[in-house]
Amino acid sequence: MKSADRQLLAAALGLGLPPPVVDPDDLDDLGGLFYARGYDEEGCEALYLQTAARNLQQLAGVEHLCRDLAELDAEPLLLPGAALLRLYPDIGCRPMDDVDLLVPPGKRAQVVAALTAHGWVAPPRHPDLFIREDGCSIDLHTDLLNSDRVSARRRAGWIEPAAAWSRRQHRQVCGFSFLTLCEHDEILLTAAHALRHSYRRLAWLVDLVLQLRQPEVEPDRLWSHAVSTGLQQALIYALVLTGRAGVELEPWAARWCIRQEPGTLVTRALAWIFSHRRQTVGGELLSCWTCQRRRDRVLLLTEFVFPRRAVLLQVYPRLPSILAPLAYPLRLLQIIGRGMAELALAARRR
Amino acid sequence: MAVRSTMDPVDGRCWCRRQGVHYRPLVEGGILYDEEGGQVHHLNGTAALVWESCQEGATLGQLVACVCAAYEASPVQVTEDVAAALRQLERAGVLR
Repeated sequence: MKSADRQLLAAALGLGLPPPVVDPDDLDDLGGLFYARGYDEEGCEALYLQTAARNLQQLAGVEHLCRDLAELDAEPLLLPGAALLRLYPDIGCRPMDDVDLLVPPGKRAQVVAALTAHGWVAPPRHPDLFIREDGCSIDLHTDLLNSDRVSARRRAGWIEPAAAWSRRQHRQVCGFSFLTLCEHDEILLTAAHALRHSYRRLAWLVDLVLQLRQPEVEPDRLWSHAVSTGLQQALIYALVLTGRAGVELEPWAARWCIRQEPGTLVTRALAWIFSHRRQTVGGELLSCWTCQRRRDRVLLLTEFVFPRRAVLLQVYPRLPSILAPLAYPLRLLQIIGRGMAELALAARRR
Repeated sequence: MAVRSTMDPVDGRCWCRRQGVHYRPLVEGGILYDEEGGQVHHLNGTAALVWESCQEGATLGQLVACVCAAYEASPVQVTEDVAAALRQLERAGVLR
């Protein structure tokens, strides 16, 4: 792990001094938290105030929506990262691109109707994304791991939505009241999401550490839940990376890292992915590897590379519908181009 | 010594927060979001304390006493700052 990333994580968790130079992408992500921790890096105050404003607008709008839906017995569940704002010092510490909501089973039509009534609009080809005039956005989910976009993702670990609903909890998030997942589901979701997106945002590892520090976390239950959902490897990978960053893990988490230490190939892959987290899609490939069976790995990889057409058209929003048949050849070219870029990256680093 | 006009519009009134305005404290000061107007206002330390003290309604004198206690400052120093904060919050439409 790069020493700069190590220092960034340590600074974000209040464990040390910030690095002298912060990459702009990481500053966007962690600048608010640095400011709240007392680090006066350039631009941090502005980011902090900007984050506070946007988060307050988003949460107020979503709470209003959830309150109305609660009256119709259709209140959605607030997912991480918005739900995890409660773990941070205040509302200006952690930016979020959009607010993710888990729709109650069978209630999607009511939720969409309420969103429309509240002035949220879905852009073309994105039926689950809703944007308001002020730029705030909501992403609707009917499951926790986006199997509606890539159905084979279930093979790499799955939290049954109905079971997650049965474990839901009422929480205060920055002074607003929401339904959220239980802490164990949130932890697993954070780990799985971070892996799939190649740990692009350090905020996800900060999220994980803060979640693990919650007093409600029961290690034995968390582990058995991770194994039963098939997400134990995603959890271990995230813990291994966090431990390598010099962050002191809870003793039980450190023991897991020793007992479940990944093999050499996976360890090297993790290190590579984290070092190139902003450029690589290696995390998505490694998440395919977490499938138990080889057949499942192939199926997931195939569907990731060539998802169904409606999902692929979201990747190419400017492709006119009449040219939709070109989406697959374009995807093939994109994969080849991406593969060559990754090889070039590997060659440059050597 | 600054002389306050006896016709100061902020004096003699009981200031209350308007409904539908969200407030959250920050590291320094606080932030307001007016859901009705869609506007966000950043408050410095004094303005944040004024806002927090207006929950049940407060007069200028009561607010000055609050701020004096919090900052260990004299009323003379504080009164103009509190009055200015009240005027700004009134102009923003979040206090009445």
